[in-house]
Amino acid sequence: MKTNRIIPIEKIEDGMILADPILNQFSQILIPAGTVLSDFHKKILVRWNISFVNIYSNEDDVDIEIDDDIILEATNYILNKLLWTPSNEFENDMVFVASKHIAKKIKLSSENQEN
Amino acid sequence: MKSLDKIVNSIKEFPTLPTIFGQLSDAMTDPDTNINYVANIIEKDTASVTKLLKLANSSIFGFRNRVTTVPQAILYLGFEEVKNLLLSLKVIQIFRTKEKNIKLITPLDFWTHSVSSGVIARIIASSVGIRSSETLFLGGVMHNIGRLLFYITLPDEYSEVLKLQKVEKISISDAERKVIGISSSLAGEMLAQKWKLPLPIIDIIKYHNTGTISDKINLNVAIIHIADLTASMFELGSDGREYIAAPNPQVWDNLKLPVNFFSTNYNRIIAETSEHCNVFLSN
Repeated sequence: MKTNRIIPIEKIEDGMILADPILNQFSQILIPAGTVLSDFHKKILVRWNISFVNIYSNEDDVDIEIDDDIILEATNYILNKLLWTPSNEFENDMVFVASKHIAKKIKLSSENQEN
Repeated sequence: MKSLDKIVNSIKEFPTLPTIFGQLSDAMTDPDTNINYVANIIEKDTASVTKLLKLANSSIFGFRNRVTTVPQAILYLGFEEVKNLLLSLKVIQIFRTKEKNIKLITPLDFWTHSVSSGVIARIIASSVGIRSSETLFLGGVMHNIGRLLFYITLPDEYSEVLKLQKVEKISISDAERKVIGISSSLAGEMLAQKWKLPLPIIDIIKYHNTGTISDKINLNVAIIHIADLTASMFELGSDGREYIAAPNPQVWDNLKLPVNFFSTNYNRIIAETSEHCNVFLSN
């Protein structure tokens, strides 16, 4: 589920998505809603003297707790698909993120079955 | 008929790319070219114009003004970007006319994998400081055309490939070589040659599985190697592979990705993949 939260611009991280457009005093759109924010946007927002932005907070990430056993199930699922063993920081990060992603899918599909 | 002959015949019968791509390439290398001249070439294909403008106005590019004409799109996006976007759209369109022959996978899943590989490739490029990433998105969309050609041309053999990878727990490319005799990247290269695709794209198609060109690093190839792997790990679509082959360690050493690249860019990858699929894969 998509909800919004307002954050100060110094908290902007690469990949956050703008929920409301950034407008100037004449209500002209400077940056449209839906824009994926990056460091570049952070810099121009500072220049435009804008202090807060409204971004989508992905509830899956922020509020929904995924049980450890689902994450474990997802991690095992992924490791079983690999013909190799993760052995450096990039591979570990990739497996970690992929596990969380698959865990979300497992959780969503089990919720859909219950409903 | 042998598998290889079937592939060669199938490529022969594949439609050629519309002449506008040749004209566009010529126009872009001509020093006297101007935007309106290039726009005139593009505007001959009205279906592409609609999609191009839809793309230019999506939040993928995030322009604050509405892009309503082809010259505006060229001005904002650049010649190379516009040409590559049109090429991506056209190749997807050509394959989609042959979709009814595909029973072993869902074509939409297949294209989701390809489009998300292109999206991830661009995000990798921006993280390692590569400024012109037009080739990379196109490369992501195209990297697997050989496999799709196999699904269309050799359905019986490919059903064996899909079984063999499970039974022997091997990569899908190894299974392709065992059953068909050649890998899909080679078939893809043959089709790319027919279409006279640019050399960087041919290299991506041919070498994305190994990640290097005879042990030498090629940045485009390396990036698609990782993007393809990421799309498979995250199960963004599927090209039918059951097991995931190891990444080439040389690629990690040379790409020099930022630490925690995947954690940092996860949200962006998911959001931009769905945005791109909405535009590229809708009818």
